[in-house]
Amino acid sequence: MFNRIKTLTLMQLGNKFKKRRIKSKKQYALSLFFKVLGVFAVVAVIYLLLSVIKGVIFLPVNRTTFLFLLFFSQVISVLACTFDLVESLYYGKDNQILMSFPARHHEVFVSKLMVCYVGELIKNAYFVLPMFVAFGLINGKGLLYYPNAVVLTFVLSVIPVLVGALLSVFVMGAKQLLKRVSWVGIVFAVATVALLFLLAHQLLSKLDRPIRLIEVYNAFITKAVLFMQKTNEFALVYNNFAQAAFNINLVKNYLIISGVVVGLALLVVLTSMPIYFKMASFGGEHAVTKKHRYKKTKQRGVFATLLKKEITIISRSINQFLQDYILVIAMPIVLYMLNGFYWAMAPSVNGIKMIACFNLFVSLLLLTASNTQTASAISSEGSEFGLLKTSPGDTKKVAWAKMMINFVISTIFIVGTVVMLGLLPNVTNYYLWQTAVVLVLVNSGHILWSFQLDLRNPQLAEYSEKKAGAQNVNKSRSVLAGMAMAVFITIVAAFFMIIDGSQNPWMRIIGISAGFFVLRLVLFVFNLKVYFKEIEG
Amino acid sequence: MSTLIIFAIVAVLLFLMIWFFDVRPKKRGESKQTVSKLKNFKLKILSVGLVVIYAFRLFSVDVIRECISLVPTDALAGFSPAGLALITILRIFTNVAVILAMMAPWYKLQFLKNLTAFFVTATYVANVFVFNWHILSFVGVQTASTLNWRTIQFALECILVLLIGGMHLYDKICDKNFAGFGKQIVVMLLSIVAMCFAVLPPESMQTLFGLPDLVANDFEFFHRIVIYATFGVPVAIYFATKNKEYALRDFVLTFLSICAFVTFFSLYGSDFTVSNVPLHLCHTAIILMLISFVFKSKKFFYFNYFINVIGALIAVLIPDVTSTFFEPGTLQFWYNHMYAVFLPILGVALKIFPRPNLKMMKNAVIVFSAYYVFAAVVNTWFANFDPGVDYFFMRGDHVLEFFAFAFPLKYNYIYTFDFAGLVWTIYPVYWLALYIGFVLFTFAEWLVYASLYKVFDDWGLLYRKAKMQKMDMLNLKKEMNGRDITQPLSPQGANMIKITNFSKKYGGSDRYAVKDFNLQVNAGEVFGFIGHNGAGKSTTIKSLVGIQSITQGKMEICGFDVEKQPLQAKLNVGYVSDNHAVYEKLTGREYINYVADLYLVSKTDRQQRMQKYVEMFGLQDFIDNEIKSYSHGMKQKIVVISSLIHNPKVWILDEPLTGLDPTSAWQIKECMKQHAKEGNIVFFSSHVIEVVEKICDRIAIINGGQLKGVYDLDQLKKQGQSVEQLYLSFADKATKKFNFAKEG
Amino acid sequence: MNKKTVIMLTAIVCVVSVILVSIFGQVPNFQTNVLTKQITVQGYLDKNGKLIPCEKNKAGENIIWLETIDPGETTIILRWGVYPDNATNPDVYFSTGVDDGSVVVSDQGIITFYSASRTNCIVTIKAKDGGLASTRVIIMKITTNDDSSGGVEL
Repeated sequence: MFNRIKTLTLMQLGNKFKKRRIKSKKQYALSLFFKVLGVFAVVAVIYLLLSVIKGVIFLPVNRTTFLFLLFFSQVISVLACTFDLVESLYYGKDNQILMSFPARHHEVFVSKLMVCYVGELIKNAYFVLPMFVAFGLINGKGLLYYPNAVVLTFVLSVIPVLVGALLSVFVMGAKQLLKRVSWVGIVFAVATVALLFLLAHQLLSKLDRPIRLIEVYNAFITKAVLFMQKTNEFALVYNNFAQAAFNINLVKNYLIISGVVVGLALLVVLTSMPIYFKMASFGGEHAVTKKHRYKKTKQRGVFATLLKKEITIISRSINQFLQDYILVIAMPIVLYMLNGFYWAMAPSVNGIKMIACFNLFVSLLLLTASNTQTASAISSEGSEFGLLKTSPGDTKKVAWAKMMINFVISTIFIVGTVVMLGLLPNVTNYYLWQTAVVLVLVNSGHILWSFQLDLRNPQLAEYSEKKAGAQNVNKSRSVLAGMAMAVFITIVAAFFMIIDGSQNPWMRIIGISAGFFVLRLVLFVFNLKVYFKEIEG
Repeated sequence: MSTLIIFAIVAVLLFLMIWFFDVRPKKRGESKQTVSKLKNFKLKILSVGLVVIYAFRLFSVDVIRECISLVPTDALAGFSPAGLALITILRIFTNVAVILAMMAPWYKLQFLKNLTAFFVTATYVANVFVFNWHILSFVGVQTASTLNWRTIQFALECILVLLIGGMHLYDKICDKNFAGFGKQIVVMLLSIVAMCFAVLPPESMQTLFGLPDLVANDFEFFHRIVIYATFGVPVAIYFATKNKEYALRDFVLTFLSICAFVTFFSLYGSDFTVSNVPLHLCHTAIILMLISFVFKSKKFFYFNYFINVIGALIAVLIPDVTSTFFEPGTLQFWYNHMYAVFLPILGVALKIFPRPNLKMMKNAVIVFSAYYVFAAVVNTWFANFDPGVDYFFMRGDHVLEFFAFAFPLKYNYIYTFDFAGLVWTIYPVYWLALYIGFVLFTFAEWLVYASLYKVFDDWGLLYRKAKMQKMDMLNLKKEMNGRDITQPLSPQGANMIKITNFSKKYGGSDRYAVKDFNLQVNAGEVFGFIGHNGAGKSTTIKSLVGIQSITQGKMEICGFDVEKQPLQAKLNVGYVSDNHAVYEKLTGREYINYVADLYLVSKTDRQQRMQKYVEMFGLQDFIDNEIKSYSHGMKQKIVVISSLIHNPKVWILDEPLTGLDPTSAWQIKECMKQHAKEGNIVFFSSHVIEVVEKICDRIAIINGGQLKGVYDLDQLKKQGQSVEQLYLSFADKATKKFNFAKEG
Repeated sequence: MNKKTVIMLTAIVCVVSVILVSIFGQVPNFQTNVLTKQITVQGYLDKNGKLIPCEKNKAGENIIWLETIDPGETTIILRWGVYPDNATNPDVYFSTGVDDGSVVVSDQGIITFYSASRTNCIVTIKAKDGGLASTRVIIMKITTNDDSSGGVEL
């Protein structure tokens, strides 16, 4: 059994971490050396951050802070592991291969947990272990602290995997339910957004005005420490980890930790493992075959038909849509909260200018990061791009169809953001519409730029093979370009508003944004005309 | 006395023209080329002499520099404002003329020769006529009355320039070739105006217009105009000259480098102290630029390109001057730095010097480091004689005004020691920080350059490709010979597929995937295309349907060239791909309608055909389900239906029966036969020989990217040869050996 | 470069922006930091805890007369007030200007004489908030003409 589990695990690990084949021992040693160097670099960074927290922010860097950070990071790990395991255990494409092997289902189950554990261990090696070491250095811990930290890291990585394995059953159930009654998902999403907005509004109304951070700083630090202490009361077994790390009742804490791990493992063995195969095959056996109502046939132009196709596909892939646009959907709430805080601080004239610049920066960061969908517009066609190449008619219009959707959604949320900002006192309409114009122009220019990146370097083969799981270098280029534009426009805005002190800075900012948009439009039109036909499917 | 001098000049001039240049009717037997070469050589000698003579004037002080707003100073008492204005304007023209005279013998440019012949000669003739005024403007009333070395210098200068200009004029007259001269006059006039601004004597504006309150600093309006000009002028020069011959581009930039030198050093005669030795980075830039362009020195050029451009740009953005713009020193500052910014960039943009690489930048940093150490030593040394010494801002606070946080770096770490009777004060931490900051800027500059190269290359490629596409369209119209481009290019091929010498190479590969492929498929045929995996079947088909490009050769569908008339060709093609790719989120009906829209099929036709094929393939119950719920065979059927929805003349299928159950395979085969019976072409590829044998009329065999043969199946049957035997006969030796062993 | 990086960057920018606006972009709080403008000496407590007001000399300064000075025993507990009442930091500090330990004043304004030869001292009371408010209290032993040592310049 152990051999089979080992074989299955190694096979999956080989597939997951397939990188350059290491040809020699020297290369392996070199690769290991660089990885260790990377860990040390992270230690240095965390140490510096903790020094700043201690020496500049005056937050105590002790066991309380350590436990808080550990607990917070592990909560995120548990959530991440849960969703990873749902995908891997129940929706994994390799299930078809693994289940057909001469191995028992629970062996496949254990191998998948092992793979998740290895991934978790690597993540913790790059974050939790450096955090342990940095805390040890700051608090002047003895030599025994460090090997103890290594052991604890290994043990710590088990817990999110086991908890994730337990929770994955419930998440899987919820997913199946949502598939059947999809309107529940939409209602849930809308309710979450509304709740977040109400929460934001409530929090802001509770703030004492004007907020003077410098003056309430000491009180803020005290409150922060109290908050950490209160949160740590819910830390459960992580409390024991922290105590063990700081050499408090070492044996007792190790015993508790071991007990918890064993208990969780038993729970997994008794609950998740037996129903694994049924859950894994549930998706396939109960696939929802949706019948769509037959609509009257209409003849459409090329652009209209391409647009209709895009809208149809998006409406039937809400999850993907939300994934692509989550940042732009969150933008109104983020900006509302941020500005609520700004305006509660009684900003001076300079402060108002700074707020305008920061609003542009944050909005553009979120907007442009959501244009990754356009940065893979051509690539995501995959093999279907052949149809566009073989069709007569001006199929270049697919570019405009795909960008239209991105543009419309972004603009809707820009307007939404501006409307929400208008709810705040002291924010003038003049400022709002100018901000909106700048955002629309820059974002539209960025959409054109993102599409152009994919047009010049389409990853059709990658998407044909892997579909939604494909890596596309154009996406990261698009994000980088968006960041660069956000920085540039913010610097321009800061220059005209604060440094230059000109009478009409907004007109100049709008002028520059319009110039950027026109430049990108002209370049895009030329590129589309020249390079679309050169794409080989 | 002035009359005497004028007569002397004329006499010497005439003498030299006759004796030195032998301006007489040609001797018999002398070749024109030899005479011309000799004359040019002599002109070059004169040009070198002119440089030396002119240098004396360049480094001298002229009293006219004190005049403001056409008000003569005491030294120029007697000059009227009109006279002052005239002499000032003449001095501007003289600056241009003397540089043109220096450069004329070295460039074989008709434009330059015309300028030298007419403008240079005219200017210096005028100079001779107002010779005395010039001397007055140099030395003032008191000294001008006596013979002084400035008089001699200027007289010599006039003689040399008039010789050069005169010879060019003489050649022009002898040539008698004035074709297109009218147009050239306009260009020459515009060039003269531009050149006047390029080599404006720094005191001219003050003399003519006084000192209005125009300060270019702190990003105020006027400062921004100057910054725009710093970028706008080189852009204008670039577009004006980028398509001209190399000699002209070289001349323009060399001229500008000389202008930079002249405008900078023309103020050097006055107020020369230890603190204005040209050791400032931007001052060395002026000297190095002259050497770079005149002697084509790459080392000096790239040092300027990497080190001086950034320094000059910083100076343009945060200038060290607060006085009014027309003040000679201020004008000199702006000219100096603007030239230092754009001349090196133009040198690369106009391809006088090739684009640099990172190694050159590193070399430039090494040279800069040496300069920096030298400047530090000189600063410390000369500070003993003039506290105002501040080369590269190493002693002053100009840089610190913008980086206030660095004040402690300078003033907290001052070290002083005595050596050789002098006091040496050093600021090691500040100097180190300044050095590191500048080097970092240089690396950042490299990133900017690299990005700009990429952008410009990209734009250049885009422009060329767009132009090529336009040319292709024009060529097509020519080929059509007055017919509409929507008509077939080859009307005789209206009912066939014709492939002529088709070859295909992928990307950067040297290997041909398909080489010299020739084929003709006629209407009413079911044509099979067989070959092993990787033989080139899909490559050929994908090029035929327009998914991939054609490296060489020609492909025609129904007389339409696939490359030149893609839209018309595609309208006649229905294609079933080998990967059966469909949009899985769409229903079957939606997908077919989508394809029908792309192929411009009318509502009536598509409904009829959809109904027919859906019934034929038995998809009635599934047509409104999402395609992702279909089996492999159902997906294939949807693709088949969508490929036939526009009833194409040519139906191309790439391995259509792969993975299908027998019923589905049979249905598709029947469809293929039916479609061919209706007078259409069915062209499909397969590596399943049995299928090919059953339904095809003719086949082609491809192996290793080459067509091995086209065969009629009926003929093969009559000969008693099976397709399998035929196919295997083209298989490689290894396969044959295996078969032989198997059979044996 | 992916969306996670953008999310992190946005969070950092939000926090940094709030800090920057609070430092550089807020209207100054004119109501804070009310400085002490004046320190008044109300008097001193006698043995019975009764408040005895100080006398004033010709210059209008507070003066306390002592009949006897018993080293280690003679103490004067000063009572003082600050003006305005809403001064942000009403604390004061005391100094005698005497280093020899013959007279010492505590932070609570308790003056103790440790030497019989010390017949007088001047206690300076200054505001701790860095303002210029200060006052002096002169403590003098009532002397006959013979007592002339240990004096201090008034």
